[in-house]
Amino acid sequence: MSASEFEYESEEEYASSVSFDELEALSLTDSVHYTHKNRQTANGLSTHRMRYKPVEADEIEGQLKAHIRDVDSILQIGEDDCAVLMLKYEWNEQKLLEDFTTKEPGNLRRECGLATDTGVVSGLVETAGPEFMCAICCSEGPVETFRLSWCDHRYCVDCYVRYVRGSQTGLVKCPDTACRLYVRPGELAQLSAIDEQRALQKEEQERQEQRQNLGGPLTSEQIMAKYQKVASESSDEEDAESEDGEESTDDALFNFHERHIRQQRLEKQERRNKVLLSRYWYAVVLQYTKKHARTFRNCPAVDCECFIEYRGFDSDVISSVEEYVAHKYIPIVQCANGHRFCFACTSEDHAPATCAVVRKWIQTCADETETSHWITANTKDCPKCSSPIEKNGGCNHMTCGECHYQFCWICLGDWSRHKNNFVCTSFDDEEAKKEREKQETSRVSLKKYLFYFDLFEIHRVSLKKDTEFLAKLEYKVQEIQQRAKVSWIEAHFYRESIDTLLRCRITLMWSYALMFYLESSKEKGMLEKTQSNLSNHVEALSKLFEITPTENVIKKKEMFLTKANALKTSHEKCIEIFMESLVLNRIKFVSDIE
Amino acid sequence: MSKIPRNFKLLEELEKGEKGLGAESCSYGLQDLDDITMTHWNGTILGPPNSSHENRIYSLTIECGPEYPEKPPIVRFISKINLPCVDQNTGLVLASKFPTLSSWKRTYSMEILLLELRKEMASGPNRKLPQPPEGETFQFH
Amino acid sequence: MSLPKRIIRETERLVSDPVPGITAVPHEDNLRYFNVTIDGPSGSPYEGGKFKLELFLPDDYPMLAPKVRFLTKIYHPNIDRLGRICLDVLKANWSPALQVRTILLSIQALLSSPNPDDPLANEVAEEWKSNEQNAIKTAREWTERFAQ
Repeated sequence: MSASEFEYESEEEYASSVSFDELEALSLTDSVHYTHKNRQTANGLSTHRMRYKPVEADEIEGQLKAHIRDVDSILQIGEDDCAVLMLKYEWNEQKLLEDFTTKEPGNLRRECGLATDTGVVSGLVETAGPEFMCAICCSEGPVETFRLSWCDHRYCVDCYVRYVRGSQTGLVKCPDTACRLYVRPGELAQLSAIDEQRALQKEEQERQEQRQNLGGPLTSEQIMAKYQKVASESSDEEDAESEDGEESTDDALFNFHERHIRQQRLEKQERRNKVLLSRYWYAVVLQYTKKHARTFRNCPAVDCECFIEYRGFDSDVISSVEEYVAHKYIPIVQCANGHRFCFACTSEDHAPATCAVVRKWIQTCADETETSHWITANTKDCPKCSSPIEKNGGCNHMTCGECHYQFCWICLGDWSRHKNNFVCTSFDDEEAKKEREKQETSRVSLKKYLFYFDLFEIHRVSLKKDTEFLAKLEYKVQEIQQRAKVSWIEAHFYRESIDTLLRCRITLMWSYALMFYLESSKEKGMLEKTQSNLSNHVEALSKLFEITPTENVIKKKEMFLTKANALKTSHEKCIEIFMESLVLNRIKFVSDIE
Repeated sequence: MSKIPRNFKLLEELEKGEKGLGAESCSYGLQDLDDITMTHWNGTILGPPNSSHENRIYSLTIECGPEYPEKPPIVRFISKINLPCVDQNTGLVLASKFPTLSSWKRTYSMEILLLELRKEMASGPNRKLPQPPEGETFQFH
Repeated sequence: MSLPKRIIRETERLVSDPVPGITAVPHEDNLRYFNVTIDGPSGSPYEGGKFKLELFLPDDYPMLAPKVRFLTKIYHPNIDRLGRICLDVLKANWSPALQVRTILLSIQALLSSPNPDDPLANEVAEEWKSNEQNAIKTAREWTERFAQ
C-alpha cells in the first residue's frame, strides 16, 4: 500500500467528523447542561449556575482532527506532519504558526521529529528475508516487518505493535535510539491495520485447529467452553425470536435501540483497547484534555471514558470554578453515561456537602474504617432480646428474627412510634436515647461524631446493599417483563425508580457529613426537617421495593411512580434549600473548614 | 513471572516508602542509607484509633536477611507494647503467634507486615489490652 | 517461564564477545539476574578500580528497561549511596532497541563524564560543582578504598 493511498483513507475518516465551527454552533444550542435546574429558587433567590456539556472521547477526537485540518490548511504540510507538530506544540496553534514563519523549515521539522523529506513512500510493511533479525525480540526472518516512511529501522510487526502499545502519549518515537522520527497517525493507521488483520488470521487459525482437534478427546475445560458457547448461542436465538415475533414494532425498535446503545458503548471501549489507532487517538485526547484541565474533566467512574466540558456560568458575578466553590456552590455534573460527579473536586456526587466538608470528612474518617465503627453500623443487637442482627437491605424498619420485635435501625426505638413516619434524624428522643444508651454501654461511647458517622455509614451501607439488591431485582423484573410481554417503556419506570432511590441515598449520606460540621441554630433545625422529609420518602420507596413481590412489580407501577415522583420532588427541594442556606451563609460551621 | 531478586525487591519497597505511596498509618525506611545490603530497617506504626493504642506511635526494627523475601524478616518492637505475639522480654514478634510471619510469602512486603501488625493491635481481644506507659522501650541485647 | 530468545541471544553475545572492561554473568538459578563488573575508565578518577554491579531484566524486558545498581561504593554525582544510578537511558529514554551491552557502556561513559547538573547524590553534586578538584580527589580515594 502506498502512502498516498492511506492518506486518502484518513481523509475519508476526517471527512466523516464534524467541523469545529459546526460543533461549536451545535453545542451552544443543543446540549448545554446546567449544574442545577432552576436559576430562581422557589423562595425567589436568584442563583448562579455552571454551564457544561457532556462529551465523549470520540467527539473530542473529531474536534482535534478538525483542528489539525484547519491548521494544515494554513501550513500546507499534510495532516500527518501537522498532527505531530500540534502534539509537539501541545495544541498551541499560535506559537506553532509563529515558529513556522520565523524558523528555518528544515530545523523546525528536525526539532519536532519529522523527516525533512516529503513525497511518496512505499513498503512500510514488508516481509523480510532469512537474513533479517529483529533487534527487539531477536526472531529471524522470514517475518513481517514494519518501519516508518523516512527511516530504515525495521522491527517485526509484533514488536512494533507492543512497543507502540506501551506508550502512553501520542508522541511515539521510532524505537531506534539514534532516530528522531515520530510515528505519524497515517503510519500508525497502517501498523494498526496490519495488526488487526493478523489478529483475525490468528483467530481463524485457532478455529481451524479446534476443528481439526475435534476428533480427539476433549479436556474438561474444552467441554465447558463448548457447553457455554452453545448455551449462550441458544439463548441469543430465543431473544431474537421474541423480538421478531411477538413484540409490537415500536417496542422492538425501542428495545433494539437500548441494546444497540449499550452494545455500541462496549464495542467502543473494546475497540479502543484492541485497535492501535483508537488507542493512539485516545492518548491524544487525554493529552489534550490534560493540557486544557480547566475546561475538561475526565469522568471519575471506573472505565468511563466520558468527559465534561466547562462552558462558563449564567452569571455576571462568578467567572471561575474556584470562585463558584468559594461561594459554597457544588457543581455536580452528569456525564454521557449518567455518572454524577463534582466538577470542582472530581469526587462522586457529594451534594449537599461542599468540597471542603468532603475533604474534612474523609480526613476525619480516614482511620475509622478498620475499627468498631463499621461493626457498629453493620450489626446491632435487638433491643428486646439482644440477638445480634445484621442489616441486609436498605430499609431501616427492622424486625428481629428471634422475637419479632419491630424497631428502627437508627435510633433503636420501638417502630410503632415511627408508624408511617420514618423520621429518625433527631438525636434527642428520650425513649430512643434510653435504648441506645443501653446498647452503647457495651460499645464505644456515643459522641456527636459517632452519631453522624453512624448515620453516614448507615446510608452508605444501605446504598451499597440497595445497589446489589436492586440490581438483582432489576434483572428479575426484566425477565418478567419479557415473559409477560410488557413493553420496555412500560417497565422503564422501575429502573428510573431505582436511580432516584440511589441518588437520594447519596444526598442523605452527605447531608449527615455536612450536619456534623454545622453549629446548632434555627436554620440547622430547618435543614434537619428537610433532611427527615427526604429520609421519609427514601425509606418509603425503599420499603416498597422490599415488600413488593417481584412478580407484582409491574402491576404496582402506579405506586412506584407516585412514590418515586414524590421522592424526586422532595430531593429537588432538599438540594435547593441546602443550597440557599449555604450560599446565603445562613448556617455557621463549627470549625473553620475552609 | 520471573522471580525478582532480593535487592531489587528491597529497592522497590524503599522507593514506595520514600515516595510515600503506601498507607499513611505505617511507615518504614532504611536505618542507614549507606547500608548497601539494605538489611536494617526502621518501621513505625500509628496506633489504631478506638483502642488502647490510640494516639501512640510504635517504633520497630526490621531485619531483612540475605534470604529475604524467601524467608520473612525479623521484626522487633522498640516501643513497649502488650500484645500476645510480642515477646515481653525482647520485643521480638513471634512467628508462632503471628500468621503473617509463619505463613510468609515472597510477594509480601514490609508494608504488608506493618499493616498486619496494626490490624492485630486493633483486633477484638487485643484492642483493649492494658498498655505500659508511653515512651518505655524494650531492653534487649 | 522459558527465557525469551532475546535474552538468550544477548547473554550468549555478552559471553562470547565481551565488551572490553565489562563482564556480565547470569546467576545460575536466575538467568535474568546478572553479576556485572565495570572497569573504571582510564583518564577518569575511577581508573584502576573494578566496580561490581547487579542487573535484572524484568518480565517486560525489553519493553521496559533493565534494573541496574552499583554494589561497590562509588563517589559520583549521578550515583547515590545505595548504588542507584540516574541515567536517562534507564528511564525516559529507554528504547527496546537498546541492549544490556549498550546500557553497560552508557554506565561506563557516565563514569568518564559525570553530570552534576542532573544529580542523584546531592552532596556529591554540590562538591563537584563548587570544588571539582577536591571531588575528583575523593572519587579517586574511594576507588582505591572500595573498588579493588
